[in-house]
Amino acid sequence: MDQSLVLLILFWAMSGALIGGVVTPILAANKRVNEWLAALLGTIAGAVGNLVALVPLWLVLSRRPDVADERLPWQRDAAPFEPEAEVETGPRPSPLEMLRANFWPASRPVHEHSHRMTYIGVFVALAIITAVEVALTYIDVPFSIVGPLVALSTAKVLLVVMFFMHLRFDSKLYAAVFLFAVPFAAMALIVLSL
Amino acid sequence: MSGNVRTVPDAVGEPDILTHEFEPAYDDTPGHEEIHLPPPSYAPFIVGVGAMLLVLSVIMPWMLILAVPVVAFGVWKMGSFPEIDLHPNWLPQLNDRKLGMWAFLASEVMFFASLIGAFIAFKIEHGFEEAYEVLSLPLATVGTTVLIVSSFAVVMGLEAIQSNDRRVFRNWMLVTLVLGVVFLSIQAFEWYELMHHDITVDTIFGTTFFLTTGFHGLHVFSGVAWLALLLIKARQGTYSADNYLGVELFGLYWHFVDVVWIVLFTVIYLIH
Repeated sequence: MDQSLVLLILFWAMSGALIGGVVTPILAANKRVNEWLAALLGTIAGAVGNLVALVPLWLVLSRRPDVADERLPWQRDAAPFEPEAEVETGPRPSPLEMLRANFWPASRPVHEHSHRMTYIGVFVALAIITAVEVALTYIDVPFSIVGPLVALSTAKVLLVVMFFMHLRFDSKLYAAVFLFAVPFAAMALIVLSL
Repeated sequence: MSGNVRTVPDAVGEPDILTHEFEPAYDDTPGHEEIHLPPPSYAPFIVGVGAMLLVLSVIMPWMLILAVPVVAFGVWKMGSFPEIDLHPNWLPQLNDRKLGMWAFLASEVMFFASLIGAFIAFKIEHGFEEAYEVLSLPLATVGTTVLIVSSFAVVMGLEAIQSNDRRVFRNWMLVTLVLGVVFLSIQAFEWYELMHHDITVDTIFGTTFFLTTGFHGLHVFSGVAWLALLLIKARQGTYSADNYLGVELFGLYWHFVDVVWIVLFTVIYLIH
């Protein structure tokens, strides 16, 4: 790894440790805690916490390709002052196009069927059923809502298991393994609640 | 990761470069290819020991200092183990890892059924009126929506990686990670509110409610940790249209957590 990067990360962790080590004894002053222990734990928590806080950044940043820079040091230093070459860029993509490029899965090769529209349909169905369920509890209806609620959530569970977990498309043996547990679960439910 | 893969051994002895033609040390004529299998992993054993220490830390809290690093190390080692798909001889259409996942989920069904059964039993007996004045249905609805959207994000990510679309895959997985964390914070806020109204584990409602939703939250938390590992592996370019089973297994687990919450939402929040 780059040496300066290591130094920067070290400084970052040390600043966290410093803040943790100073703030924790102050916070722990009125508690019955040994203040030196508090300072030590605060130091560790601060250093580790600051490093953990870097993880999202590291995940988002794209990695720079490892290409050795062949230029001499003075050429590298002079590079920012040279006029940049005109790069041909097309019109800026619209937000919708960017959204599409980042979140719409590419279609499969010709002979394979894509499940994109199935997934969207199932998601919409789940959202509607949830809305209906919540609405049922707010509206006064003359009948007991327990039966409809159980039926609706069973439908939701079936939708998720069948389509999102691919039990409908996969080998029936996986379904058999999974369904094997259901009688036992039903027994536990019935025995406990009756 | 390459440390786990046994590489081809070097040529035995020092071949005389000047007089001999170069010969590879292994035989790659058809039918004689070397099979590269990683040596058995010791990581599950470490996770097992760490899990035991975690359970011990219920009575000895200081044990957490030891248990958490051990579990984290073991899980990290398990996560960095190369992904190999083995198919049993007797049922070649099945995949060992997927079958194991489904068996695990079947055991989870029974586990959560007993927890939910206990909740229903206590509810029929006691009614829990004072707790329902504190519990917020709108907040729980937001939590449910968050989990359902995250489930949808996982399937879209899986669809993307099956079409070798790595950028879309990673974006959806990041969405899932964020939504999982959001769900956990909603749950933390809800627990805080309950504690604030003196509904603790000492009440009858508290014992069942905190146990049930707590175990579900623990599953969400493990899922988030797993997803973080998966994202790191995705960054290293592990997954592609030829190798997406790791993503699919995570998806199965995550959807199952979603299914459990759908049931819990109905039983705890909607029916009363």
